[in-house]
Amino acid sequence: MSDILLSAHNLSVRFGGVLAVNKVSFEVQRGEVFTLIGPNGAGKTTVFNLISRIYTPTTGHIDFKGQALTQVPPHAVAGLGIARTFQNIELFEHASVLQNLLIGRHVHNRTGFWRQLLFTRSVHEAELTTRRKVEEVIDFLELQHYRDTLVAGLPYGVRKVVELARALSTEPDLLLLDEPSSGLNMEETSDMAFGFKTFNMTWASRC
Amino acid sequence: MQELQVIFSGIAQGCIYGLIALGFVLIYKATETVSFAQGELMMLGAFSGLACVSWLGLPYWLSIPAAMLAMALLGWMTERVVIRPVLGQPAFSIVMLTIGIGYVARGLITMIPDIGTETLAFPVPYKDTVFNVGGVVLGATQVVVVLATAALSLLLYLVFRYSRVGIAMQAASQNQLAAYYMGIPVKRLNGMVWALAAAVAAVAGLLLAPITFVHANMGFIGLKAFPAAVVGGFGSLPGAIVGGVIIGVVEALAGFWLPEGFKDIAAYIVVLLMLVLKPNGLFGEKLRKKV
Amino acid sequence: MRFIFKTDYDQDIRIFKHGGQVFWYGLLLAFLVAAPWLVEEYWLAQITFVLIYGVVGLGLMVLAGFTGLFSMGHAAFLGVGAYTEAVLAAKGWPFPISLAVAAGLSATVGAVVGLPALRVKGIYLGIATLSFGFIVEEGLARWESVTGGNAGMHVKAANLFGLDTSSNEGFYGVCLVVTVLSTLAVINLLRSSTGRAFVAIRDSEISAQSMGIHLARYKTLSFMISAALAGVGGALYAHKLQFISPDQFNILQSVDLLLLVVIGGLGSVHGAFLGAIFLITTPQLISLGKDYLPAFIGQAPGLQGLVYGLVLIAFVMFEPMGLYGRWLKIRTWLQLFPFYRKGMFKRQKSFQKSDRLK
Repeated sequence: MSDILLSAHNLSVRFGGVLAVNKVSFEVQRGEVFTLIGPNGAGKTTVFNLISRIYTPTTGHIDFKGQALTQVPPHAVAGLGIARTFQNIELFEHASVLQNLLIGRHVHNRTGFWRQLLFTRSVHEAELTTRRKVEEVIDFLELQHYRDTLVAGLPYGVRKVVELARALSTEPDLLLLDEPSSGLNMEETSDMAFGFKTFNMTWASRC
Repeated sequence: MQELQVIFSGIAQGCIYGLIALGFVLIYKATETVSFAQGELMMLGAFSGLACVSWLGLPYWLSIPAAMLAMALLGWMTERVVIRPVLGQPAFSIVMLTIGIGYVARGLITMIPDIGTETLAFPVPYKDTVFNVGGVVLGATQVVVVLATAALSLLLYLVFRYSRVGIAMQAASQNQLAAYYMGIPVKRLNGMVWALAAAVAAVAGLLLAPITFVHANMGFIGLKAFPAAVVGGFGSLPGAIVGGVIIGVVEALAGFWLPEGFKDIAAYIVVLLMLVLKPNGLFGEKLRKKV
Repeated sequence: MRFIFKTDYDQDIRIFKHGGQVFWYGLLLAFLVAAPWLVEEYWLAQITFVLIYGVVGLGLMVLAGFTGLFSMGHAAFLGVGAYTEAVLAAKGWPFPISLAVAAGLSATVGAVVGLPALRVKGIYLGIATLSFGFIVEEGLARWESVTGGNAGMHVKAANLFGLDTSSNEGFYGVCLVVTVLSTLAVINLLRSSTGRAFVAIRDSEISAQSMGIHLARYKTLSFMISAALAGVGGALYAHKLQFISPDQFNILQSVDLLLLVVIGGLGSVHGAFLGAIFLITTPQLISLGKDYLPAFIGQAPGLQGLVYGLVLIAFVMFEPMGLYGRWLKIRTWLQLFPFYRKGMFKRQKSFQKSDRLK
């Protein structure tokens, strides 16, 4: 199996007259921490949106795990193993932190509709597994204190962590973090940087 | 020849829909809330016009501004007392609130002794005049509707496009907190918008009254104004009128050509087609969230 | 004060969180089962209506409260279910089968009505559903060969394996069973991944998509479930009233259903039933109070509308969480007595942001 997880070739996307992304190419190896840096308006988030299939590139293509990503619908991206966080936090405001993370497990929690109506044993088992997995993420990011709090009442720094936790709940092969430290102070930023260095190793070894 | 007749009455009816739609597009543009009370405000406008003419004995040309003023005051007060406290709640709740306002208005009118439950005629000086244009008979009531609508919509369009007030209203609708920071008196503006929308509704009522007579259930016509607003595009003032006219004409022709029953649902079929083909309406703007 | 010490995931997953809940709901169920022997016929009929409207309200609650989809023409599904049941009962079909067909047909109509939901949001969706409501109502009136048109249609008693359901008590039993099963089904759905997907769609469609939720599929599913429940309610409604006509399924009925969910408490299963209780008891209270009011108020045809309007405005302004929300506050006060702090449920002052960019 190839070591290249994600590759982009000549990606360009045009919105009307604006060329947001111009012939971008890169490769991301398995186990690598790959960073896109650039000034505001450079198109970094747009590239992420292209990978998450929110936008479709005008030219160029993206391959993930050797397969083309360009025809995949947006909701199938998580199932392939790509998770992302959003620059302006897009959490489910009227749900608790726990519920947000449980929703993150959606791709792994496939039980049939009719079985869910009856809440059969298999559905129950799936729920227990989901909860176990979510608790692992909560432990890892130390969110126990906020487990049952509604997201709408949380401070900004905690929301950033919940956003990350939710992405981790999907057990991704590739994690896209969009400006993960924006809005955080020096201490929180260095915590997060330390976190990235270690959890790429520890999290990857768990899965 | 009959087609032209039918089309013209469709245009006139459509202008009424357009005026009501204008009212809630105004409110939507300024506060991004949808008001289901416009139909009932129109009904109240018709009643207040009737009150001015029949019981206060004012001459017709004085009753119009009097009724408009009364309704504007009512609209301003409604905004102040009921709408202002709830801004910031989800759109659905505010819609339910305006439905409640409509119910209250309808209920209160039926309580006015002797009048509330009756259907009353509205005396206008031009009631019996007709124009004969090349074989097509145009009632003056209908002609007045069309002309008044055109004049009013032009005026409002200019206000919103070019005046500071108009631009301030648009800013407040997109991000209220930011508008506050910019020094825009959001609350005062909201009050003004509701007053304006109520006055427009009053005009619609006064124009409709000679045609359908004045009664408590007049407001239900307002339901057809929603398809008008959707067809035109919800954020667009000229769109509301154009949408209204389209709905009016389609409805009239449906009544003329198609079997019974199609006339009542023609407006709704048009709106569904519109949502399939061009969801943002003819003049609406497509806004997309950036993440 | 009750502290729940959690040691097991099951405590979160279970329907009843602690013994107290089991006790109270058990008591409620016991009362409902014993009702035919405990209460007079008139009140039994009212409870039957509460159950029927509760089922319909449950459907609308799933759609509007949990998935955040605006449905302003819900009476259409009620009508489809009612007429399907009426037609099949006239042909002598057994009740369980005709009920299933009524639910299925309503669900199909729900899927069609839900098609605009895949393309438009918010008020546009509301107007689309409103339009469907009018079209279905008109369709029921025009399709005279099947529905009898505006003259209405008589409904035979439900054919349930030969049991007598034409009596008040008999039919009440049927309604109770259907209601309990529907409620359990919805609660099960809400505590598994489908229910969470609905909530995700309500709160942030873009993130829901990035979590792997197929928006079109789940929105359609929500419409279908909601319509199916309304269809079931409609079938029961038809048998209870024994006579249906298209004007019973008009815009006013749709608005009544919206009133039900908003006043009951948007986003809660309890809200559906509390709203149903409100909808059934308020006209009774108005009739009782009418005579104490001066004639021009008491006898006005618009009195009920006025009361509904005032209550609706009051709830949106002062208790947006509805009756269930108010009950939660009361219960917290009772549980924490005397330590209840005034600001516990204080709403954050929120500023309005553009919904168009959501």
